[in-house]
Amino acid sequence: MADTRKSPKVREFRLFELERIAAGALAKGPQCVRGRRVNIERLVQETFDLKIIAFHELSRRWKTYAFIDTTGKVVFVDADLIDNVQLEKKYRFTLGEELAHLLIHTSLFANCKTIEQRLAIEAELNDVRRDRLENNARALASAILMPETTVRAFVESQIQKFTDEHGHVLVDELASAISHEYDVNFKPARRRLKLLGYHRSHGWELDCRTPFTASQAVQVSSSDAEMESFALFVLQYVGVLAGREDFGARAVPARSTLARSATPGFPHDLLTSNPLRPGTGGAPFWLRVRRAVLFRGKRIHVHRCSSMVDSFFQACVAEYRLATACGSHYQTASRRQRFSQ
Amino acid sequence: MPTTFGQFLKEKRLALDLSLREFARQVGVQPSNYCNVEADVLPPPPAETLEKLARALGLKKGTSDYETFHDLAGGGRDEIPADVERIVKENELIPAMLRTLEYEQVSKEQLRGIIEDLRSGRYKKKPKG
Repeated sequence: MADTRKSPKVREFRLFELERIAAGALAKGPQCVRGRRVNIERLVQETFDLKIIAFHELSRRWKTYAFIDTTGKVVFVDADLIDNVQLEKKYRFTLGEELAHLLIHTSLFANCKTIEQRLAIEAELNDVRRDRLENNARALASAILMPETTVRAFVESQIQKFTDEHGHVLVDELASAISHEYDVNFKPARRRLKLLGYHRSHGWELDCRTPFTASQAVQVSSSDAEMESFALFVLQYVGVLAGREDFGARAVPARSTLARSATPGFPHDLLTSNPLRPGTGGAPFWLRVRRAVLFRGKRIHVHRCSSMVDSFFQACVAEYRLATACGSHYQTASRRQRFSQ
Repeated sequence: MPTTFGQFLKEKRLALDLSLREFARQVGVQPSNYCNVEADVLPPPPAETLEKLARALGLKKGTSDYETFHDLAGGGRDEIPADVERIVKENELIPAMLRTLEYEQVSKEQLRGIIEDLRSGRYKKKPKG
């Protein structure tokens, strides 16, 4: 008989949600944060009252470094991670990932007491969901070990040191510094920087000092009024780039008009198709933004980040900050000029 | 209040703000084994290591923490606490005293009184001169 069981659902968490969960977890154990370094072992053992049990040859036998029994509140960790001082960073990150599973995947791993049960649950998941599960855990572990506020403050304070003579940010060197400061491996540090928007986008020159990712756009400000003004600004900005300064609040221009009138160098796809779901022919991105402004007030819903949308938001935020800093002297023409260069 | 030897160890180690590995290295035991003692998966270590653990945790003889430490360790191993075993072996009069207590059927209440009396300082050696 065919297996009719459905693959368990795994929700994809957005970055700002994970940041909030991480901040909440750290707030529960303020004694576990000393300087920039988070004492994850203490957070796990003291604040979340989890037992750590060393499991010999776990990775060799089961191809995993750790697993959590959320009901019994036990984390089984490969003994080598605990014994080998060279693997300290990996040990810390592994604990972070297991804590993340406890925080966001408890329902999935409920009643999972043995490694066999855990692996059986993972085996039931299809590839997309399994990746999602790991990505969620990895991103949350990174958010706990490298809290957003302190990473941003660190980057801001060190950016001069890691900028070359052409003004390019040396992201790899910056990631090395983060890895050292936060006691994590280079790879997660690099990934964390990218998630927080510190990466050089392809083919679109951007100021890395004002990073932003699409999923964070909803958080440009805690004030509703400012959020709304930012959303309107995004629309005007799209209009300026497309050479149609009137759109946004007015009638929807035809896709062909937009494609023809868009500023050279500006990714036309952003205006004429939905870069979030390429090939689906869904509503163009700017239309989604417009809808968000008109119907939902202040929320810009971006389902999945693509590097282009990321870049777009980075540019928007940089421009918005400039506009608010310059007040009425900010000229739309200068904006167009700058981005057509 | 910790009810197991592992819980007691964990509480005291965290109070010193030491990681599992740092503490195990200080005591000279393998971190993964120490970790499993803390998790109560492995039984408390033998007397010699227990003394090293007590020293690293800063537990002083005669304090209630020191006694709890040994009591929990003894309970965990289902043995007489290591410090009591040492005292009995070192002083040949202690077995005689324990037997006397048994023969004379001293009640718990009376025993408490005797302990308090001993702790009052009356029997402390006075410095000579």
